[in-house]
Amino acid sequence: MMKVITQPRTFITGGPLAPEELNAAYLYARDAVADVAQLRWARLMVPYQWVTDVGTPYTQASGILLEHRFICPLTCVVESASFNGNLTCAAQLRVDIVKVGGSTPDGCSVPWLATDADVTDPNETTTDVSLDRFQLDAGSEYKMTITCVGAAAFTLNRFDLLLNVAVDRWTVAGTSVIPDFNPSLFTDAIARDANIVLANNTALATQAALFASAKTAVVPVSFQVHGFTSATDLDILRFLVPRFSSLRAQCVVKRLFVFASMAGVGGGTVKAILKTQANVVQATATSTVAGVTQATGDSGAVSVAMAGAFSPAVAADDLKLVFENSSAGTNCLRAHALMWLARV
Amino acid sequence: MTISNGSVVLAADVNGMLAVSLNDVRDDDAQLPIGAEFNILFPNLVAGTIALSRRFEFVAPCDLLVESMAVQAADMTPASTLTVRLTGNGPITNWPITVTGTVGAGVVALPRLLFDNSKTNVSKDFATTAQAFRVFPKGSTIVVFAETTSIATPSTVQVCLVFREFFGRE
Repeated sequence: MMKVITQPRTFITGGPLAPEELNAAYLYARDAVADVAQLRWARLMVPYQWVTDVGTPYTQASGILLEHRFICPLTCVVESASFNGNLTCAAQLRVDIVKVGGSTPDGCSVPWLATDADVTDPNETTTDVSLDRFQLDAGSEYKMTITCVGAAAFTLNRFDLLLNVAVDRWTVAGTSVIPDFNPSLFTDAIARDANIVLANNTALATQAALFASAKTAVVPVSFQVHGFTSATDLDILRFLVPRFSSLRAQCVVKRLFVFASMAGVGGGTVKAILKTQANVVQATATSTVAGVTQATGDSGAVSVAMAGAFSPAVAADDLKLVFENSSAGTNCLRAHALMWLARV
Repeated sequence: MTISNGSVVLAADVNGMLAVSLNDVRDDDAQLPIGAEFNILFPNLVAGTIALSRRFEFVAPCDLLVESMAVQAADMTPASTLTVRLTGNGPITNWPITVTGTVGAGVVALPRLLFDNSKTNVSKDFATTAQAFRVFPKGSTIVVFAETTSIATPSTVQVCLVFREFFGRE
């Protein structure tokens, strides 16, 4: 519950200045910093679709396409996850999450999500929910993979997964740095030391500045496209990034990731590119895929503002996300882009 | 001015500390990331696609308000129709948020729905009531359906949803 902060009396030059009045001003500032700093958690929903062409299901033979990847620029906490699908499986179907090059995050069960047993009716919706709460490290890549016990056969007509993630704005790379103003207070026994006032003012300015500097990426947006080469019609490789809600009106794109997999040994370069309607490039994430494998591209830190008017129709200020495959002969099986926005 | 021993500390010095240094704190309090955005993709959606394959379904983890909905289609059959419905279980099932329009070759963006905080007039005829304003209670199952008369492939349909979440930052 938010504490009621009582604003202190305004000071008048030449008027009396009791220690408790000066203290009241500093305590007001202390409480304001503490209260606002505790408004620290942003909760996000991150959807994932396992879909190739609509109506063409994934199976146990879909290989690398049974993975999806996730990177958050900040330390975040998965608070829950669920899947919802129409599928069949000859044994228990499982979803697991591991850190790339590492292991299952502490606190996450194995399997993370699963069917109860085999599923025979694809017309019945199959669901599971996990309330496991576990941390994902800032900037680390994680993969979510679908398997079936005993490598049994399965068919995914539709498989949708939702992550419910919490991000703490003060925990960037595993360490929490929370604004904290603790002023030196005056009593009648303490000399009227202006240097103490100066030190308090300086300390408050330093802590207050942390709010302005911690405008971190907290809203993810994902895009994906399947089965394309450099010869594929560009119209189906570009997606809206519309600037048409009050949320977007104060947003800045901070980071862009692309996760791509290719079909053949030739490999290629797959990009996710953020552009204006006039095709001016704003940010690029490039993945270099070597052979039949998966590669990740990272734009690095960017700052692309959602500028312009608030419009319910496509406007010149709207951005677009475009995928590119450098190879004419090697199909990109899937390119998935994850874009992180921050409120400023 | 810089305060130091021996100088006169003006009221403005003390008042200014509160006004200037707390500006960032005050401004920050008003900027809460309270939204989520989904892009739901339906690649190669055609008239014969079975119903269970042309939807996305999830459970609302908190109370959600659908603030905006935008649909874009690319390279579909000329003069074909695309309809996207967003609905939830319970009493909302029969009153979906609907975006429908004519699509075709190239990239076509359908008219967007936007909850812009204006008054809506609820009437007996649901069709005349602004449809972008919809609150889905926590725990409700939200489904996005898409259907089309197009038979062209390759093609793609993008449904962009912006939700305002009622738990926001805490």
